[in-house]
Amino acid sequence: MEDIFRYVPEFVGGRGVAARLAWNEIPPKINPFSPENMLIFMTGPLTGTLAPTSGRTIVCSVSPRIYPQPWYTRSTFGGYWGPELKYAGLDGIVIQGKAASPKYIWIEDGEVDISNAKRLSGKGTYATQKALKKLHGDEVQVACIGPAGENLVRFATIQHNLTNSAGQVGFGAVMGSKKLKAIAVRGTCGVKIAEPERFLELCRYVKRQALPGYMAVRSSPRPGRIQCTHACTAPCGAVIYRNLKSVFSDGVINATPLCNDCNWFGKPENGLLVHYEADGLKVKGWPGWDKPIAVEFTSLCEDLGLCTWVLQTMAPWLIKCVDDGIREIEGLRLDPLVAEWWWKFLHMIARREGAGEIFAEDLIRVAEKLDLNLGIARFQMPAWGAPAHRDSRQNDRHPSPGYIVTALQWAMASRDPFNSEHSYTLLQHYVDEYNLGKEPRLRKLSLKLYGTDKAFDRDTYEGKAQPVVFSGNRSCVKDSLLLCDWVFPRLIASFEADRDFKEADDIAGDTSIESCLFSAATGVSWTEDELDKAGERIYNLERAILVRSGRSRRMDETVIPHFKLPDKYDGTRLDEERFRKLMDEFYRLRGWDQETGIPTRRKLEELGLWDVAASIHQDS
Amino acid sequence: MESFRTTVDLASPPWVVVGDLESCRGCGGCELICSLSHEGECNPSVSRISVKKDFFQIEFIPGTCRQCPDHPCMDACPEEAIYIDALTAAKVIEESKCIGCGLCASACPFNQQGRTLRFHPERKVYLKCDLCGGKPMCVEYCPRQALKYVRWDPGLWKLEEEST
Repeated sequence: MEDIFRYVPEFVGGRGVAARLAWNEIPPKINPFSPENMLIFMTGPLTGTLAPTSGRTIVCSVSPRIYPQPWYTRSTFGGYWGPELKYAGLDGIVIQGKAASPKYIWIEDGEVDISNAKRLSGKGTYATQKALKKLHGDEVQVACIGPAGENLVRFATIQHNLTNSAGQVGFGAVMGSKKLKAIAVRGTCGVKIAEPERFLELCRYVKRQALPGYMAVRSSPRPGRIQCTHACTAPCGAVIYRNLKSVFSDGVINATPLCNDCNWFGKPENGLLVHYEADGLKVKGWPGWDKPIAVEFTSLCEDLGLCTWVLQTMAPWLIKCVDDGIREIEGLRLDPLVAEWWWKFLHMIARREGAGEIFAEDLIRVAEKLDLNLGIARFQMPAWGAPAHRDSRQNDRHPSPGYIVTALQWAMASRDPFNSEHSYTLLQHYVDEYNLGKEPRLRKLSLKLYGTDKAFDRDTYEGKAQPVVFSGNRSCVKDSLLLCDWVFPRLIASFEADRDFKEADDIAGDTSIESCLFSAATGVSWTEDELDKAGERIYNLERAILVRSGRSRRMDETVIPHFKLPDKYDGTRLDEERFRKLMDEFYRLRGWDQETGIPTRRKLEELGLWDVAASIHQDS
Repeated sequence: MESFRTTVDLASPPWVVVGDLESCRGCGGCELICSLSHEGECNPSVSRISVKKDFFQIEFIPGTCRQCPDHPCMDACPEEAIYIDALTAAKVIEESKCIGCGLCASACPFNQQGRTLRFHPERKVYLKCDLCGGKPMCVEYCPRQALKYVRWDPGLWKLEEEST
């Protein structure tokens, strides 16, 4: 056991501490499945406390899903596992090496036990969790992998409860490569709070502010919805499906799918999988299934331990193959418009059976290997092997200037950035919904948040780098504390009624909440700026880790072609020349070299990353 | 404690915190604010209210002391460490008198899995809901208004008894 105080408060917790461990101990350019790779589970200083939405956990490792080459990245999940780990007296767990046979880890109040998991092998994530609860008690919290993780599917998840998963970057497969089936935790110790009374008052205040990011006006909790994570007070939440009759078997399904069921539902107005045609690229729309089937597929993915985005990525590509007269791949007859076919196909992927063997490598690698419809595969997964998200071509609605910002976020990301960088895109919802575009109060908000009043101006590339700097730093802070991306930071204030919002002159939210919670919980008295600085430190350290794996400006630019396709809603395209200048501006603001995209020695030293600076700049 | 007892309006039923099974979503905010305000730490294991959570059936049952008017816990205490609060008629453990014998917990007919009367492993005393002196923090904090602060009535736990 190692003392976390070696790394905090400098690296805050969670993502920050993980990055420091990764820099110190994960060799650059390693195979994600090699025993040397570290699988890091971390909680943060707010995990397990009353702080609204604080029940999250972060997992960091070298990801097998990242394309064209695996590198270090992150994934978070909600629920109750992280708090339980904290109550067991641990801030995190680092898994390194590889077991000879399947194992699970059992942690109870600081005692760690590694046990045989042979009887859990091949079991779904639901059966695995239930079996471990039966063995160790109902109050045990379990994070585990399903058959997909065991079979090293590149988009296998680490699953907890019904719906919470570290889903997008294939960490389930990393866990599988270590032959670790599950980590079960139970703890009865508490999380001590430095200033209990102040913290309690703060939580009451934050609870009133903590709305889902797209809401400015407080509403009552919606009936039939669930709170997806410990200590969450936000009135969003997933719909509850209880005792839903299975379409594909005799059983019933209990499910609380989050937004991912809409991928399967596929209504055109969701903006997912709609018809897209431009520059010789033709992507067919998804006809959509009934809700019960959509829910059941989400639930099946969670149980097999597959990323639920699989349909969004693969369906259009498969449909195009069939349209082109390709009836069969690796002996599998293609029938992608039929739900029963998908049921079988998903099982095959999770177990690498038949054609599942090749599809387990994920769409972009399949298309490349078969040299088949690579254009569509790239459209579906525009960068880093991640499914399109908030790009306003394949997914979501962010016409100009929205996609200028999201393109820059994608360019600088190590994965799909929108697990913890929604912030600006959520503000865009207000801009659309309340038609704020031309109002002076939006400029005022932009100025306060980003130090420029042009962040929402439609026809200029000015003021678009600052939101990306802000979101990046805040994403690191949030993933280190850890809090929910859908709720924090509070960019916009919360109002009692629609009218209050419409009439308010100042709509700025309280962005100091994170630092107040952090200070009251830990006793480390930091201002908003000081915590942001820590966010910047973490952001730069992660960039340095990527640089060591070969990341450069040239690679950042590979996102450009996708955004040069016309926007699905306003038809405009990313202007390459102006975007390159925007990238220059971003590197400048970051204190990174404009030619290479590498953090300068000066910047790294300013952030106290002396050893990192020395290592990165040893040649200069 | 006699002076306390004489000021209680024994004609009215005691106040009590009761959970609404339909609204509770198991966020655990009640457990956290309870332990934070009473113990200065966030720890469901020493909270005086506890939510039984079944994440797979999606069922959540908040449970705390029912403040029974016939108070078997109080009667069982050999140290007379439990008194009745003058304002709310809550049965309150006076920690300085508690010897941690656990007779209250065994006498309680509703103490399933020790969720109503809990032993504090460090202080070696039993903990139970004291209704926060008449302003229960859990009720005020619950984001789904799933906890109610009401006058005791035997029918309040009907749903819970049916579901267990």
